[in-house]
Amino acid sequence: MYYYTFAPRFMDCMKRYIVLLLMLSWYFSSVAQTTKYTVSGEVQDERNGEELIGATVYVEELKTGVSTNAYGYYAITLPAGKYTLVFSYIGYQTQRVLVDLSGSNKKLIIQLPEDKKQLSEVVISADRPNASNVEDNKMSTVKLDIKDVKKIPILLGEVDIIKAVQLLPGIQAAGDGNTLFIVRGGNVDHNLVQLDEAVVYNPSHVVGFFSVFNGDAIKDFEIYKGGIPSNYGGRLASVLDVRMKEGNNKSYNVTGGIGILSSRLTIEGPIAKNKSSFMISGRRSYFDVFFPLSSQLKDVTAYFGDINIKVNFTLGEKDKLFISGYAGRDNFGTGSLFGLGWGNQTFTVRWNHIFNSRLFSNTSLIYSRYNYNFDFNVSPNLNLSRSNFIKDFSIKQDFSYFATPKNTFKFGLLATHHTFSPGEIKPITSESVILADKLNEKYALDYAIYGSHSIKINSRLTAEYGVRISVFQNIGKGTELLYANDKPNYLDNNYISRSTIIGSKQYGSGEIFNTSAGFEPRLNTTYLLNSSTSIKASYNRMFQYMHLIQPTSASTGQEFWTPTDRYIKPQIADQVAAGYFKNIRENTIELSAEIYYKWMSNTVELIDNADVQFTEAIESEVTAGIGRAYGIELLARKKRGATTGWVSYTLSKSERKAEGVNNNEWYNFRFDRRHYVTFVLSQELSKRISISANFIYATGDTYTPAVSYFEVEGIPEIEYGKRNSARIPSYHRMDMSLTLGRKIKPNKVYKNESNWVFSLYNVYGRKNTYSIDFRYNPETGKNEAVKTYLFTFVPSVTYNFKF
Amino acid sequence: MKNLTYIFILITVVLVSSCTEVIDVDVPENTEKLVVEAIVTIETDSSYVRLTKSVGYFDNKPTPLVTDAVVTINGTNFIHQGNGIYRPNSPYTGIAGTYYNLLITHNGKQYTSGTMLEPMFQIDTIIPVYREAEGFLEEGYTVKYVGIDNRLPTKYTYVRFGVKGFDSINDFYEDFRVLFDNANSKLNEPFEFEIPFQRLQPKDTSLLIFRSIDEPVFRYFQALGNRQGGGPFSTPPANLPSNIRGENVLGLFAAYDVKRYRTYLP
Repeated sequence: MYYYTFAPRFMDCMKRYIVLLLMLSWYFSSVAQTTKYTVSGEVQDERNGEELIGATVYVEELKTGVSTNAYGYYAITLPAGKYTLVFSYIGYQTQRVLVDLSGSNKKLIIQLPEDKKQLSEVVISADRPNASNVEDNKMSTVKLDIKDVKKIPILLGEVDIIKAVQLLPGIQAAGDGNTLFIVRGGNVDHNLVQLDEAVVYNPSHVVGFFSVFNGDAIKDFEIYKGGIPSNYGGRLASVLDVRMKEGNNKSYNVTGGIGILSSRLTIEGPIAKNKSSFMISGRRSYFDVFFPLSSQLKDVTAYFGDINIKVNFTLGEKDKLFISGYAGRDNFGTGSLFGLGWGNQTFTVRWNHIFNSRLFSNTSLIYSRYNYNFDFNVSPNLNLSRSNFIKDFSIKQDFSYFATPKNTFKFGLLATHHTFSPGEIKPITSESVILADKLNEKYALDYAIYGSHSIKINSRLTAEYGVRISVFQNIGKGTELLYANDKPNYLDNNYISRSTIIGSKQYGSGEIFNTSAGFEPRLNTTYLLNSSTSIKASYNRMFQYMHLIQPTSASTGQEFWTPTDRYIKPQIADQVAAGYFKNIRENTIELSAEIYYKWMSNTVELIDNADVQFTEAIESEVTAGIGRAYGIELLARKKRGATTGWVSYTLSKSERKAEGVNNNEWYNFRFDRRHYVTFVLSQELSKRISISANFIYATGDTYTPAVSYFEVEGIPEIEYGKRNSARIPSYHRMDMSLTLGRKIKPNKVYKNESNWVFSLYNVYGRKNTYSIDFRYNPETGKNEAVKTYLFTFVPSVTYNFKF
Repeated sequence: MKNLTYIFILITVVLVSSCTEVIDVDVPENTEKLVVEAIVTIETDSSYVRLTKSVGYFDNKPTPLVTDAVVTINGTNFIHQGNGIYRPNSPYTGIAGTYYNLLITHNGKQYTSGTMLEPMFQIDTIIPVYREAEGFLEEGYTVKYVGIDNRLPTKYTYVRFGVKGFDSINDFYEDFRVLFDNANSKLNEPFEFEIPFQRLQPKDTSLLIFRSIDEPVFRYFQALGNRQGGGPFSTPPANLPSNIRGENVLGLFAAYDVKRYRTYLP
């Protein structure tokens, strides 16, 4: 019922958008009539010149302010006069700067020193941390400082931003130790994961146990669980926006770490001091190095590796150019018998241009590719190599218009060309009985235009309203299969049957043959009750045109993406959320409570016994469902002092319903977890030593229980009960780590830093159930339930250095 | 040529050292269901219907036999002969190209099903081929079967095979089954099938059975194959798509054209 047929609805959307643009242009002309000056510039990290994203710039006299955009840029237009600007950012010392705006615009690049360092002379510090938790017109978003992430004890010592955010309310791992995550009851593919604006289609290494994000190469990341601004779109549940480091533009640095599993090295430095810099960061696992020593493992290949490269150039006062790339690879296999591998590659070229101090532009060219291959080589006559990939080219134009301290506009557009190769089979040897075969490649165009207006209505009320209009088109060369009754499958005898294919329609290169469009309104509001308390509310509608088809319960990399088309409709979600935010103890402790409700439609559900391994008729193997997810999230967080960390609790429910699944009744989402509790604690014992611990408790995941046993052709069979109606035992785990810095003599300045991190994952070795399966045991002649568990007690040690 | 779409033996890709443990869990109460295993084949007196009932998953007792049902296939009565098995009283042979209707009446309830006995093509050349040791396979012979698949596209083939050690009266199979469709086959071109996952040594005998099946039967065995192995790296659990209609019923009605090839390596 939510699905938009293109022509009339889309025109309707266009009309609305045109009205909005007209309103904006009227607004621009009205503000242009008053005489004002603009102070603009960047907020940077003093040590390395890295731009700080989302830093607050506050005009003390007017009690208002703005935040830096994704490129560290800000602008405030004020009536002529003298002002005190306060620049602040988490983990950095706040700075106050006097600005004389009488007669001309000012450019001001502010470099914030890290907390606890001596201040430079020209600025006065205010030690009180800012109240962004309460004041920012943002809810359901999480931003962790990468330094805090590094303190959290993590599986095998790999610093992992995704694992860290999984300790926050509303974001949960899709299985023990997994980097794939679910947000507020959404599917794993409902998350938009971006690295420097390029979509990362599979953010995991080693079948999900490590993320593709190298902690040393990441500058900043933010995750939106709700209230998603209109500049993001394409996924239902969340946005994880990760930005790579630009590279130190002041001095050369080498950072690295040696772990038991993998090692990493980052080199960064100026190309031209204060103007341009580079960063190159690589990681590789090396547990496979020892395999040749073992007779059993000598043929085994198993490694992952990745590399991040970024360079940036300042081209005069108004232009900056960034070029960044990522390439990752996983390979596993045993000799020539079988092997599998996958990898993401992204490449982004960004050009920031300041048209005038108030109008900031970013133009990006983006490339992203994800590929997977599986080789299987039993004998010279039975072998195959199967592969699939998805590839995107995008062009994106974003504008930020800092109209007045009270009004900021963002608008832009995005166009993407997608190539989907759902599968290709090639024989490895010429004698193989397996014939080369390739599923048709699919192509699609994906456009979006968006606009939003942030307005401080009065000293208490702030709102950001916006809209995104998205269009998705299947474009030739392409083939559409035609089915009896125009339905790819139908319900018969309580099982979903595939419809007969009655023909196909071919479309020539460049021919557009199916169009879907979505009108996606977004709203965020904040109302300050007092300087330390606020209430916030948000609404977002999201359209998702790309769907992940996952053939197995766990992620093995062989899942693939398929586009919206004639049969598979865009998934749609509407989410409302409201929250209460309070800071206590001079903003050192942040408290929040959020409640949300999310409706989903056209969710892509696999039919029972779906066969998605290699089929043109993928639409026959899925059915459209609906979903609902709701919950309450509580968080108390302490960001400053020797003791930092948080406590969170989530009470939630997520369900799905689809024709032909579970007798058409509502069923639990696979990762529906009623309770989710986390404790994260970091304690600095001395300048050298700190300890961290975290604890998670979660209601057990769902599984489908066996009901009865029967036999056909002598094979013992299982009759299953209602889908996801039973629960595995509850999950809980505690991890600890100890960070040991180098010995520091007083009054001596150290250029080099190093530390040892000892960590223990699952300290008390609980065998947390990963899945429950039912089987007949021929030895005992009895049926049994078998639990699979993955990680018990996992120790690790890492040596980190920086010089 | 054929597109091998499914191989029953799952090479389970367990990349992490996962561990398993038998545990006690509660399962929902079972509603007893009729279980139908009905086979019509072109091999004389090999057609039968076996009726049992499902039992609670952890009841750990043999499945009860149903001995008092009335069973007909295309009007021929199948009479209970013991052990829940029903057979016709006179010699019975399935005919390729025939659609078979099954009707079962039990406890006043009716159960129906239908399946097509699809013709199987003929293998006309059988060639033992010597192969080096590779992977987990020892050196030895494999056997290549060549024939012309003259069936229309989207026909399905179900292969079971046994090597060594089976006695000649009751064919014994290794649990190796291969399913494939011929959707991408070229009509009237030779099709080659080689025994995978197994090496024969001199003096071994191999038995290979090709069966042609219709789509619902293919889907049933495909689902069964996907379920083998279990665990997080297999497909999510789901009930096998039965082609039997009626209330509280499970099972399968399959009609097979069967070609058996026995090969002795000198």
